[in-house]
Amino acid sequence: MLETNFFTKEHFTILDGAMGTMLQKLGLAPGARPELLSLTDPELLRMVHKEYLEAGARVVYANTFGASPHKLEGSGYTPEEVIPAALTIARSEAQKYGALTALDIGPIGELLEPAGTLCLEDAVEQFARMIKAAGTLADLVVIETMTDLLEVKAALLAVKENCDLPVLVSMSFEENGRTFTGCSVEAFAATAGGLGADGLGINCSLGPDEIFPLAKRLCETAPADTLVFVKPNAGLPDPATGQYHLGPNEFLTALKPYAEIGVSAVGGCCGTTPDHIRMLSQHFASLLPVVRHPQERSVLCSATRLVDASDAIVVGERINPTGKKRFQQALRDGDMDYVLSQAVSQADAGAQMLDVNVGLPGLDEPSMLENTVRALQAVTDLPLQLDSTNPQALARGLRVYCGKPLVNSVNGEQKSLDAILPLCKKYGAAVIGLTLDENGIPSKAEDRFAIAKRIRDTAASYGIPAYDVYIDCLTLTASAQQAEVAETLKALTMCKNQLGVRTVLGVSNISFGLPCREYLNVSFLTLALAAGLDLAIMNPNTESMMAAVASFRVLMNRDKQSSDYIARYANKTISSTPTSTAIQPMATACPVSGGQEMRLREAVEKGLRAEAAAAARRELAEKQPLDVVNGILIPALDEVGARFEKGTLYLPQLLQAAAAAQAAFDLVKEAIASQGTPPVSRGKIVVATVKGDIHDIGKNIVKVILENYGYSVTDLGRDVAPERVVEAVRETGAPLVGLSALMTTTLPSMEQTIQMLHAAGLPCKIMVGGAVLTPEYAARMGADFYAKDAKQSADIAKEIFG
Amino acid sequence: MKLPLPNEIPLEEICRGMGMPINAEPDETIKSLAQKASTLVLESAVPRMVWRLFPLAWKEDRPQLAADLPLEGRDICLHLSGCNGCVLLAVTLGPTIDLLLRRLSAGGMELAVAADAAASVLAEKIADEAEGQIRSQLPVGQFMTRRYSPGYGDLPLTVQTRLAAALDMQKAIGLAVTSSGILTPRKSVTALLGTADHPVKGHLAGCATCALRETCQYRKEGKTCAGN
Repeated sequence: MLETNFFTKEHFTILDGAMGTMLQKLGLAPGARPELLSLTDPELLRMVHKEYLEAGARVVYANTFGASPHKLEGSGYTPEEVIPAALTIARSEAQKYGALTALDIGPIGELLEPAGTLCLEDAVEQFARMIKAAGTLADLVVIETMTDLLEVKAALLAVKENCDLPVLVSMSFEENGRTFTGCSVEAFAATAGGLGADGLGINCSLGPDEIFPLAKRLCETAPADTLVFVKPNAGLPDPATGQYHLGPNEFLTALKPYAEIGVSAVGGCCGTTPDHIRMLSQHFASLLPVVRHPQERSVLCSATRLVDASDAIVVGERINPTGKKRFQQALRDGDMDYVLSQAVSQADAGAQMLDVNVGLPGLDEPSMLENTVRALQAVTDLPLQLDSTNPQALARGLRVYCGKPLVNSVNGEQKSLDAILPLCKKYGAAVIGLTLDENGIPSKAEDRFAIAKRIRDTAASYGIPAYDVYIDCLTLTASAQQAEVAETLKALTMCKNQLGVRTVLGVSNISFGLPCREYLNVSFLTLALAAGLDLAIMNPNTESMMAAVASFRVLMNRDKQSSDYIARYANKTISSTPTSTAIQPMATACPVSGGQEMRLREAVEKGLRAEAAAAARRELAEKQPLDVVNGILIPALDEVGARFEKGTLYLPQLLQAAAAAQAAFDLVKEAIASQGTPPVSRGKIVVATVKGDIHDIGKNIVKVILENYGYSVTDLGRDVAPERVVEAVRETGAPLVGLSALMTTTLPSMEQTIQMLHAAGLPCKIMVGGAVLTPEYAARMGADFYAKDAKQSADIAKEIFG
Repeated sequence: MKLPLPNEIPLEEICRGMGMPINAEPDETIKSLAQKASTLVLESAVPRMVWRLFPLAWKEDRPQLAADLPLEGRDICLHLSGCNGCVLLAVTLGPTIDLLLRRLSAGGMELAVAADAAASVLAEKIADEAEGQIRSQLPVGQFMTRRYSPGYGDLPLTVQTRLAAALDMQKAIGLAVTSSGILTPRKSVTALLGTADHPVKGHLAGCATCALRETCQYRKEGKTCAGN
């Protein structure tokens, strides 16, 4: 009989013990590949499985842990050869005991973006190959010893998309409750649970004593319908010998308390033997697992940051092109740096989540949202709220997101619910429901409540619990619909109190069309928080708004001992002099520092950012934007560049000057965008760090300097395939391409990129740079220019564009 | 296993990493930039090490680690000359440093460059710390060379993948290797240290086979990166 009630958690299930350390004990050389034994020494494996089954294990992990395409590279074997062989051996033994055979999947062996170069889809593809190779030989899939949450997601997606087998996932944590990549137990539970894992567990890295508090946290947070399991090491290894010290008796003693916390399957990892498993089997076989009652918490997370929605969360609203010409221009130009700078500044101001809206007519929103999510999670650990009504865009963004995101939004229309809720379910996302439908926004609170209820119930029918539904009762502008402001707040309270859902509002809309908007925004925010608002979508860079949230948390006794408030405001004073408050006539709204005003040229040359911005503002009030660029900024940069070449000024100063110039340029761009004239560029340049290379600091320096000189730089990033460079040059028509490579191992891919650009017959010139390059090597590769530093790249650009 | 962080990262070495010549005196803004970078990097780094002593076999004058891991190139041969064991060491500052550097790059390059330099200096300091710990554990009568890293001299970077497997680096400290032989997280060091029952000094590769030979700033100044 098969161990069919494994997943019903009606009794304890015994998992097997270590494979790798057993094989090493039996003579496998360090660094050798255990996976190949399935082909070279099947009897050895058969023996290990048999011993564990004899000891009482009822789930055996086949010898496929390291059988990823990447890890098998160079071994002379493929997953299609190794995996069926391993499963056949395990299965033939397991069946004799009515035990289950698991396809065991470990880390690919290469880090995913952004830490490494492997993209999500390639990771999914590698796992999919392993799953397809297993055919019908496995009863379940286990994904184990993971440290990267995105890799867990890739593996789970591959399982769900390529087979119908149940799937268990376990990650390896350090004693602080985080993996090497910083993923917490709770983020793992929320994310992997949401992605549909049947079991969540902890394995390897630590012994049973160290894992116990973490397993407890996992039991408290894993979704109620999942089983929780552990496979600890036999204690911690001796640093000198690598040997594990817990014997079978001690191992059992340490594992006994696990029976009380809701774990329903136990086994062992490194250093455990059939004797360890026998002890577990004898003890746990007669016990009944405790039924878990996990907290039904509304959480959202990235891999490393978890937000609990019960505590007045600030969602930054500024990644959104609506009504922002500068942002729209950045999206059209593919200027991801601008988008990222908005993220970083909101994070620095204290935002706890970021709303991400990149929809603009005429742009490919699906690929834009995917690229933006990927870029954002490389620079911020704040959980994201994907803001779109386009199902294709949401699908692409949700797929690459690492963690548990929030989708903004569905509304009460059946069409909207049916298109978007299945995506939320598949990718384990929570969802915002707007209280409007095909008839518009009801004016009465009761009618908005009715829509909210419908959304909640439909979500439930798709398997999305109420605690993952966030209702937006919709902020209407006080100037146009004054009577309905109170209805919004009333509906919010009704939803919060009666539906078991969370609430969210975009706050700033309240003041549209009225003067001194900040006053209304702060007041409305405070009222809404008091009415039960959980997530405030707002501008975190407005201090009075942040202060309202911080104050609310103090006054409602949530910020204990006012510690967050004090941390934010200790040693600060509120300035109430007329010049620094918002009550000023419009004409003098621009701050003017009294007395000595620094000239723009001097500010840039000295690398003073704030002074440069202030000076640029003054210049722009009198001059045309282009005159400011050509008459002041470029000459200033030329001067700095000349000093850099002479060696009287160094890279840090060059970069400080660049940053100051950039601050001025941002204002120039704003001025141009607000004039409605198309942005003027001195020429287009494509830059990239070549395929295989991830060193991008040099390329980024070059980009900043080139942008300073007014060139439009399309930055393709790092690890860029030759095809993408060719495509970008073709699309932009750029007459100049800059390629960077830092390693000897990546020079061949630089050469390949150059060859492909030549083969494509594109008329562009190519400049190259990077530590290991020489002018001779550059010429030999077919590059037109060798740039020894960023300054020289600007000289080359000048030569090309005149 | 975790390693302790130093209290500070030497500012002059950070300035050096930012492209300042040895004799140039950094001004106050550069010093404060380096100081800020140092603080940020020390806040983000979580240094870890893993190491193991392997037997070293010599086949036709070529060193071979454990059973079947040949080490290619003239320079590593000279470095391990006279040794019968080899410590394989890997240290990393962890992925949070990479996140810091990416985040700083999104907000202007000068602090990003300073932090990148500071993290590189710190990675070497951590490797020094790790090397010191291993040296202090050597049994009496055992001697050990200094560190030698892949990519240095004519030892190819491509050997990283095999070294990673031999130490099970990803499982031990979260360190992996890309298919181009680049370590990720980026601020990481792998190194080979020969051991013997008689004093061994190892051999620094020198400039002759260095990939940076033509463009190296140290060499232009008549110095070497080994600090002499």
